[in-house]
Amino acid sequence: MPEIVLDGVYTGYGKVEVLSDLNLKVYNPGAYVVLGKNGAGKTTLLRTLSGVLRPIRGFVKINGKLSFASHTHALPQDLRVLEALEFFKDLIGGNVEDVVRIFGLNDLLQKKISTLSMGQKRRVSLAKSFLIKADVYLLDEPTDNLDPIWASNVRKVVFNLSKEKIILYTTHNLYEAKDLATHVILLDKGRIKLSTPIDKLNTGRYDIGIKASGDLSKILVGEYRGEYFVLSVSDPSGVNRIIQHVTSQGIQIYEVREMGNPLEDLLK
Amino acid sequence: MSKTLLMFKTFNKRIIRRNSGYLAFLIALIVLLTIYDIHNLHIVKTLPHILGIYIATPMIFGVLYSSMVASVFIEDKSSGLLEFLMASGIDSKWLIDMYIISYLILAIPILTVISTLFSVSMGNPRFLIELESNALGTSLLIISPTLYVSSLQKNAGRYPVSVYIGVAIMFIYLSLSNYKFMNTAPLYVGILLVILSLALTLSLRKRQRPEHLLP
Repeated sequence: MPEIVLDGVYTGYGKVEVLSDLNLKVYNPGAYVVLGKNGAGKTTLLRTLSGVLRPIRGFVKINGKLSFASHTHALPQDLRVLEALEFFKDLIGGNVEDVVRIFGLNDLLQKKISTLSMGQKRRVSLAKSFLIKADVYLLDEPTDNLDPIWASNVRKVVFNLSKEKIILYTTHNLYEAKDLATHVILLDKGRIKLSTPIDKLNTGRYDIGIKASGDLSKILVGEYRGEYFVLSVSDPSGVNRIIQHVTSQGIQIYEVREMGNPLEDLLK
Repeated sequence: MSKTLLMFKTFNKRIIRRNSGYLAFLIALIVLLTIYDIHNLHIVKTLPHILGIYIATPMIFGVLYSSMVASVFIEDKSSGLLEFLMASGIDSKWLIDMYIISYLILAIPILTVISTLFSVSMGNPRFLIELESNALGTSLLIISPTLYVSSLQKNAGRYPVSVYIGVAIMFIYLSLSNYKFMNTAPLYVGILLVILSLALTLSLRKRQRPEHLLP
């Protein structure tokens, strides 16, 4: 069974301590989204788990094969895409055909990496990290530079993997984090401030957006944000009562969605 | 294919692709300098100190080629490639060794060819070993600190201090080569240089930490 254990870990660069007293145990498969402001230590955490950075104190244990995707592209610019993937395959193993298919690289194989766009480089970079079938994936902002279609594709890949593997995933996109996360790990000033399943996060306030055929401001307390009329409820079950109230006025409801993101409050 | 051979093959493919013009210039320069040196042999033979003259050509090659190796190393560091390879379980010291070995695999045959040409032209086989040991020692003396300093630089691309290390070593050596002691026992000087450069390489290798290779 794959697992990650951090026990009283202090780590950093030379004499500069970036992460302090980290304690974390991850035993179950899932998408563990690591959140934190700039400089909170997200990248340093992944570097420590990957073994690139050795802890100054404490104990790090990873059971299972590990794959790492840094937030940089980490590609040899002078090689063609196929040459680069073959190089990584020869060095660390894996199957080139699989990742070419998953990341839609067929048209790029003969192109020099230095000539690719940032988004294309990101796909090649992710492809190399997914070459091997790992048990633990450390992904540092993997959807950076990707267009919405490919960002969504990558999230699907990660979501499917998270059913059987442990994925540690950093992002600044809170909507992506909310969609993907089974667990949230919050880093603040180099310490783990919170580590919890996402469904345990309860902020006590839900912003609901309603798209309807009539003017809702005449019958509900809230405000329009674009096409959506947004109002707050303290309990999600309150939405049913609001819908009944609106439809009883002869107004047709087109869409109801959650507008806020509970993760936003964590970073405030 | 072994990992060492794979790294060497890929590394040199990249060196040639990114520096094809520079590499062609370097080879042309070395060929011209060698021809020039051989052409002036009759004059040089009358001089008391000849090491400083003949070592210049191999050293220029060492300095210029080490700058190409350093540029690939700096890019691999700043692009996160070295970080990825370390995270994939490859030892950081082995990675550094690969750059040095890849450099030496090309440098040694070229230095040997130049040394052989000079020694044959002079009709003195001993000069081959003397020149080769000095050229090899200085080449290794250049590449090791060049890579080490590159690894310590945070913004190496902006101000590649490491590239000037080779130039500084070359000038120091050429200045010293005018002294009598360098020419009375050039073989001992060469052997000493090789030992010194190996000691320096091992010492810098020991000081190298994985975080030095992070972007």
